[in-house]
Amino acid sequence: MNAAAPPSAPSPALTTKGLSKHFGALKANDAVSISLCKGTIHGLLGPNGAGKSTLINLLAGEAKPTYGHVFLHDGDTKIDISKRNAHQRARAGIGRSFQRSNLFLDATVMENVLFAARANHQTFSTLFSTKAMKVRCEALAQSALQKVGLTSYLNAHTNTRADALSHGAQRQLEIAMVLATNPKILLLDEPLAGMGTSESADMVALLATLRDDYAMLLVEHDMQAIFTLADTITVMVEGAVIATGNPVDIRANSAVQAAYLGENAAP
Amino acid sequence: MSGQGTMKKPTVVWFIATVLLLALPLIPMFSTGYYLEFATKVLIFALFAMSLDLLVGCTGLVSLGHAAYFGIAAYTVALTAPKYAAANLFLVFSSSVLAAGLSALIIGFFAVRTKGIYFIMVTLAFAQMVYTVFHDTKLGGGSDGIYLNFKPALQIGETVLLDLANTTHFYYLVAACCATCLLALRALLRTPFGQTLIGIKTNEARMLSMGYNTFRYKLASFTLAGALAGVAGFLSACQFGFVNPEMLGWHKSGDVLMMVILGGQGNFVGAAIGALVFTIGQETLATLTPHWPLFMGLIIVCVVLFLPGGLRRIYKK
Amino acid sequence: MDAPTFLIQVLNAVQYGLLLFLVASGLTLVFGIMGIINLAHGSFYMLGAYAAFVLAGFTGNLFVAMVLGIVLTVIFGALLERFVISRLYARDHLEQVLLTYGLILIFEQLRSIFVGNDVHGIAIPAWLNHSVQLTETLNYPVYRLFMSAVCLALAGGLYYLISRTKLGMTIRAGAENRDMVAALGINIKTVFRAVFALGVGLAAFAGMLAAPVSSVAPNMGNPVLIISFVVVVIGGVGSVSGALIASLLIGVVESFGSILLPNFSGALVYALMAAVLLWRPNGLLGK
Repeated sequence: MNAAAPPSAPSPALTTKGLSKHFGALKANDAVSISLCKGTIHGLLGPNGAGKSTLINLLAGEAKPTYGHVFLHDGDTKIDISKRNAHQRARAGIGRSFQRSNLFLDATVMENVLFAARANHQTFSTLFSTKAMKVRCEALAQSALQKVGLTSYLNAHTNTRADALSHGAQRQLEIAMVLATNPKILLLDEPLAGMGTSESADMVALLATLRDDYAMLLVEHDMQAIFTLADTITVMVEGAVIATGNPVDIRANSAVQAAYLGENAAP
Repeated sequence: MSGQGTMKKPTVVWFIATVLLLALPLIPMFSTGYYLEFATKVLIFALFAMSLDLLVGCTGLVSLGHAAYFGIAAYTVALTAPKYAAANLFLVFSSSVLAAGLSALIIGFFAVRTKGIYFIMVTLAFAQMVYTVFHDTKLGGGSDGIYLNFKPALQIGETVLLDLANTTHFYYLVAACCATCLLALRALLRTPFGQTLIGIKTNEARMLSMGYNTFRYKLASFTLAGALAGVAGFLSACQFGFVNPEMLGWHKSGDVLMMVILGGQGNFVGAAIGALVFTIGQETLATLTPHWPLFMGLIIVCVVLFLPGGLRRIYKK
Repeated sequence: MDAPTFLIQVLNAVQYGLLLFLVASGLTLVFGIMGIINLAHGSFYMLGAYAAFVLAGFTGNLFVAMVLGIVLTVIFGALLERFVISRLYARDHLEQVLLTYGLILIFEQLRSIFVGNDVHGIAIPAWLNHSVQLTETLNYPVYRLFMSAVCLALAGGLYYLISRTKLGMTIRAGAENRDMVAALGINIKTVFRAVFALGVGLAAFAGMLAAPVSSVAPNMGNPVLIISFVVVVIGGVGSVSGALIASLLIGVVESFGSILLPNFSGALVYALMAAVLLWRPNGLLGK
């Protein structure tokens, strides 16, 4: 049931070194070092309050680390992006989804994805829209909708509003918005949250199709999904990483069992 | 719930807007003197309120210092107009709007970094700074303000095309500015720029995470709103022929915010209607009692306490 | 600048700063804990000054008037919270701005109806109406020293209240994290009412204290309100120590600015605010 191990040692796309976020005495994240590689899904497990969302915020630039660095890799070059803001990181290829759906509910499905598609193309010279930009953005948006399977909303004239979608479809749209910004790295914060069994299965299948093209960090409470999808798993407890390894090792790891997996160790 | 995009077009609002727009050119045919001047005043406030609506209703920035840009433009008219001749309309117009836009750009550079309560306080504080500058220095003529001896005029050679001292001419100029502004702002909302502003109002965190540099958009919106408030300030200085610090005081900022909220935000037509209702209400109360602000205050408090969502909610039903 | 002038400016800076702190500390607590933007806070300052004026007229003694005034304004604050402000907690800032703006209009008009629009003065009590001779030509009024001493005592009391008492602990926790206080099962309504009434009382007391040296005049609350906003922006929302630092900083800037850069003194405080915003957008001690 594990995904096949990547053929050769993959080159990292995003790494962190000693990343820490302290709120006074509370160490929400403490010396976290992880590495996300293209073509792999990196699962992140941990009980509530382990600092998983904080880590995503630190990687996406929504919070600034107290200590430590975030590096973006491009081939052999490594750029320190620790000081960059959220929008700069998004433009550099980091796309994130949100735990609670963060859609523009009274806009149409297509408008939502177009917002995302335009983000990377809109400069002050194209503020008032050129035809070329419009065409390019619509293509990006349609391709993103296709990837997540929301194919019935491809037509720009389909007026369905985002709030009219089912919960599962809203989560798909959430992913589509991330894809439409044309990222290299995906940070997905609990994409399965609140889903029923069949919706979950669809989402797991969707995430598997994204493996090859992106470096993905997948935060999930659904352990079945994580163990099915992930190539590498990192387990966090109280802000610190207690183990990193492939799913087989993680399941066998006694520290993980003690700290987290506990009674339901075998998914 | 379905079948509606972001560009909602409440037909009622459009109907009222169309009727008002069509009525605009007709007003001078039926009324002169007080009523024409009153209509002019309402239109100037409508323009002012629409400029604030761009910030409050479209970008989600609640500014409590918008009168500063209105006042800066008005003072620019008074300070740049020659003492003993009618000023060149084109020159004073562009210089006053430029002055308003530029000050909005500078103040916005600091203010737009902040959010929520901070933004409200910071805009108010900077507006008070501007007030202090004009109130306490010789430049602004102190609390008495400055009189304009001659109103600006547009002339080519000896032919006067537009003389602002003529109330009918002036009315048409104001009506044209107001209508242009309304149509331009509504068109702006449909451009990617306008859509981005609405996105920022709805969910700024999401816009940031998708890669939008929201600071720039907010600053652009703040500057544009300031410049448009400048147009209103220019017209106001021309109408009354004098400027004083009250024009940029915070009560003015409070009044215009009231107009926007009263009429409903985000569609510009509401702001214009708010200006109309507010100005009529104010004038009516003022004829009844010198303590009219008491009733204004009571109405405001009651509306907020018992009608959350404002008048908007009434005519939405 | 010679030494006595310098001393006088320092004394003025401290006196003005501390007075400002009395007004701004209530404002910052109400912002920080209750999440309410209260434009009517300056009106409480005015209310205090008028209360001192009217009550001093009745009783013939400024100090009796002040004690009575504090009791009345605190009760007034609690009632205002109970019947008006408490309905605003779940509302957005726009509605809070609107309602409290309406309150200003009401307070100003009630003042106009009951006390009139004249400017009044209050006599400094005889035993404080002296001056300290600094040099042959310069002297400093004792009443201003008295004001500083009282403000300092109150600031100390506030420090004790916030750092040592149970209410203070709740206030600190609330400024840090509003949801946490509710989660702790503390009766949040009582805390809110106490904090609001405290804020009203402090602002009103500042008005009473200042009345003999400024004057009792219409709209006197507005400039105080706006400068208090600047204090909160510089100090950081919800931070009482931030408000103290910011108040004293503004006192220094205003007092020395009026001597060193008289043409720009009005704008200097705002320049200070702009600098702080660039450096620390959430204020000196803000989160």
